[in-house]
Amino acid sequence: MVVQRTAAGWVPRLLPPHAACYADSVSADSLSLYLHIPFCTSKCGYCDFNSYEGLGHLAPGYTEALLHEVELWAPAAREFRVDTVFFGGGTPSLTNLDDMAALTAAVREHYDIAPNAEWSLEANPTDLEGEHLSGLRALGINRLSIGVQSLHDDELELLERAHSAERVVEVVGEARDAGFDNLNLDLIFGLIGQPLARWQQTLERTLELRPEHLSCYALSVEPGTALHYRVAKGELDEPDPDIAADQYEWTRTRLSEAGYEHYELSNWARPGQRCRHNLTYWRAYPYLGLGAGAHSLFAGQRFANVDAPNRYVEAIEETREERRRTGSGTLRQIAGGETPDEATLQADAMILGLRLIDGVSTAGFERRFGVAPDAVFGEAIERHAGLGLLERDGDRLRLSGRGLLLSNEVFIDLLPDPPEPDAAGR
Amino acid sequence: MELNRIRNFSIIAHIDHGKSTLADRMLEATDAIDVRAMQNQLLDQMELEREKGITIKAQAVRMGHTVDGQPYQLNLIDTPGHVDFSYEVSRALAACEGAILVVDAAQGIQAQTLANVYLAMELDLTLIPVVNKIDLPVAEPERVAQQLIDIIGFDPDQILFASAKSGDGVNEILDAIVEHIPPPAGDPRAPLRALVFDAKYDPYKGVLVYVRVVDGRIDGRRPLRLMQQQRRFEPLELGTFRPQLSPLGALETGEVGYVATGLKGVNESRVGETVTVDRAGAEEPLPGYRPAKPMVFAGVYPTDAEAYRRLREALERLSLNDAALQWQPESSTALGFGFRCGFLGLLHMEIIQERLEREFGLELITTAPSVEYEVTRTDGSEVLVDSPSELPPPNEISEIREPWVSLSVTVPARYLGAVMGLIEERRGEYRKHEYLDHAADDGDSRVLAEYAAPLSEILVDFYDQLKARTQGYASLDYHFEDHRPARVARLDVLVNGDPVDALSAIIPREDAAAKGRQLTSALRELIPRQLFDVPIQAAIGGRIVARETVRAQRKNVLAKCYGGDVTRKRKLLEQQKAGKKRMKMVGQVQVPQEAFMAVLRLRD
Ligand SMILES: Nc1nc2c(ncn2[C@@H]2O[C@H](COP(=O)(O)OP(=O)(O)O)[C@@H](O)[C@H]2O)c(=O)[nH]1
Ligand code: SF4
Repeated sequence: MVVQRTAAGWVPRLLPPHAACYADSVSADSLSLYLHIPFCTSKCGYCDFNSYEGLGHLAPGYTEALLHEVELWAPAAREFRVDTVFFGGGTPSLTNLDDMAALTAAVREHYDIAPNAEWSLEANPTDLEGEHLSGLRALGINRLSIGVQSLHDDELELLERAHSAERVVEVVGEARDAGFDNLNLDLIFGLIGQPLARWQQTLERTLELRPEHLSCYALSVEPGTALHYRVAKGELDEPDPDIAADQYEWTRTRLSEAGYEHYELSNWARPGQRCRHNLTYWRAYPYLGLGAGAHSLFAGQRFANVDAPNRYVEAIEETREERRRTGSGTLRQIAGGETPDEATLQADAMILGLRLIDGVSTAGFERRFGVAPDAVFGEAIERHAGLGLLERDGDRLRLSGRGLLLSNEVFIDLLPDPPEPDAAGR
Repeated sequence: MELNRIRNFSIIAHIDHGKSTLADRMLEATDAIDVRAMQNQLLDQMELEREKGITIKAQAVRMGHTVDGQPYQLNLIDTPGHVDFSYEVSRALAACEGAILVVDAAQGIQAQTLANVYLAMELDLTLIPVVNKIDLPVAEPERVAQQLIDIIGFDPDQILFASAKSGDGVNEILDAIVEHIPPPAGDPRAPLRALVFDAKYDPYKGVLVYVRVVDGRIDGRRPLRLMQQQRRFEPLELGTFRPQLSPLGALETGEVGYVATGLKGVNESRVGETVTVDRAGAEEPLPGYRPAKPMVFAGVYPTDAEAYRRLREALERLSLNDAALQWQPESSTALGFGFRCGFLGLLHMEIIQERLEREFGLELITTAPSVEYEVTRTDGSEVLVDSPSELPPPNEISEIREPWVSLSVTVPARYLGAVMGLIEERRGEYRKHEYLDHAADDGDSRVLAEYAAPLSEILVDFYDQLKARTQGYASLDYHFEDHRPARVARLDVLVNGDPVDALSAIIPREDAAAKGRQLTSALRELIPRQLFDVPIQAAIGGRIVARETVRAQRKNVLAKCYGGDVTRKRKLLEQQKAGKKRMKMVGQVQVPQEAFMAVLRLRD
């Protein structure tokens, strides 16, 4: 792959994989693949993901484009072994089995997939039924992540979710029947007007479903969402951060009692069942994001595709057209990106790494960057250790229990001074 | 030009009654303008003035007009249009023999108009009343004419009717100026005496003083002297306004023009001064000079300590053109280094603040405005205090006096009660009122009501309240009157145990405790939650009168992982970081700029 110029003027420089130095433990040539399915049956009130209601008719062309993008990147990823494949969204469970079969086959055909690879798929309770589930399982999907959010119907309504609490219980049973033994359930706490007790009920009932993995996110009211609009209008109150904090603290205790390991700010897993795909993000190992709005960290660069699905389909077509004519050319689907400088990479490593409950290995950091975290961030580390937000434990630097919920306060002080705008970046 | 061919006049009008439009029409109707590419409303030159709809800096223009085949020189001297500048208005009027009184045919006479009419009368100016905007469908020219007759005492046949918009009646006004306004009455043979009615800084020519030659002439060859400031200078250039500067060899008795002094700051040439020749000059200056006297004081601080020098330079630059702006370095434990600035009034303060931010790109924190208190200490000594931090300890004070102003308000009669309510809330007192429409006695007829009130009470949000409670109908004029004994005390604010000087305020004793509670609760809303509990206390002389706590923040987290979008995460953090950077560190506490204006919110 030679010179590539994107519409935004940003050019990914695709270095040989070994030029980028990742990781403190895992080999540099493992890769994660992310495939984005941007369609949803209805848009949830709080959702600011790159997802769209009412664009289902684009799906066939979109799958087509995605298949092409899988192929486009194959030469660049030749020297990598793919450890995890993640179908995210949007709602990947809306994609029909034929398309899923084509996508999984293409991935297998063009990439070197590890035999024990983790294949995850995000799903909503409404659009899964028995046959579909066993079909997915047969295609090699071995981990399902189900958007539950709450087990109270009134709360599901507040969130404008399309399913009921009852349906969640059913779908988990159906997934088990279909042979899924690695389930994640996504939950949201800190809902507007939600007392501690109601969250406790949701979590207790969720535990009865015995998921292998749990993601519990605090609700955040994101600009541009329907929820934000309702709050701005005064129709709904702002979520109460103190109640959310109480809920979070209770959750930590309860899940640890229940035998779950807290391994990332918002993620818990039974021993040995952490989500390997998401760990790639937090450890800043390479990943390729395919599909509309998908993000990549590859060859030391961060870049992202255009958000709009129709624009993505067109861009992929343009890219292919150019290649047919000239044999090389631009990756037109890429909207922009950055080549982080050393200071940014160091800050990213800390900010992402500290999200993990185990924190950052100072030795690992030093191996990677040739300088100890204390030499770069000494002042901020001291300050936040003094405030009780950071802790040291031998080699590791991690957020304290209180620091987890105040992590932004720490992260802000780890940011590098604003770099000169990357002439080619955005 | 011979004296009897010269007419010097101003236009007196309430804001928006049509002064600028009329001036434009006059310039068009005469030969004033060389280049026809004229901006609308030539006299209002500064952008800010246009936005605020007021004329801040007086300007002048010379026009030629012919009556009965005889050429006349008409000099229009513009006056600033706001109460803060009443001294400047009086000097501009003093440079004239007459004034056109423009009143909007729909709105009638307003408080400010009357205030300026009285000023003009004191100065013996001949007034030409003009009812403007007669083209408006809602115009009531007869009723407004009757007001002019009843209140000011014009004869019905003196009153002219015009539409500055269409130009109707403008020639009649020009003719009336020649016919009714007396020519200047100076002595061409006496030693030079010229009245400075405005000054402007020019980077090449130094300060330009705008003058009206009263006696003698300026020929540009002899050194001149500013009598009050005892400053000697060589005139670099002189001339008149057409309306741009247009050099001439001399300014004769009675004429209006400018002199380039080469002096470096307008502070050296205060409006109202007298210019004479340096040797064998006049013995007595012209009457009416008053040194600049700021009435309102506030601390002005750069948000970013590094901008201190730029702020100083900006103040220096603004002072070049604004002799009334005073400033001196000041430092605050909370805000660092800044300046204590003195302003003529609140509008003046607002204008300066806006110009500093807009023209010089500065980000500023301005502390709550204060008046100047006269304090007698127990040892009999006197101090002037314009900043809460300078107030001596209570046990050293035997008396404090605060400035009072007289207020005139014009308002439809039905709002009198509302105005009275507001005045009473502000410790003011009623004096008298008078109906402006003698014939009518319904709720619509206008009333001129007079009150007195402490200046400190009208500094903040008084005008807005007045407007709000009268649905925008009231107009206001005020003048400094005297200092009166005041029962006031300093309210201090402690944030996290540390006194924050920039949050102190001098307030009436009676409501000190209530104000303290309001202030602490306002601050609790304004100060974001920190990583620890932050007590906020209000104290008077060491006694805590109110307390609130900003509870420690417990949650500030990006919960979601955004599918590997690290750039976005970093951007969100960067936004938070930038937000924090805009705050001031007071001890360990981050305090946003708005908190320093919280004192202003005490009435909410
Ligand atoms: N209809 C009408 N509008 C006028 C007349 N004179 C001025 N105006 C308008 O009234 C507004 C204020 O006029 P302006 O000359 O700026 O008032 P100033 O504040 O006294 O200088 C402007 O929108 C003018 O266009 C007039 O004779 N008739
Ligand atoms: S299903 Fe998921 S991606 Fe789709 S709108 Fe709801 S929250 Fe967003």
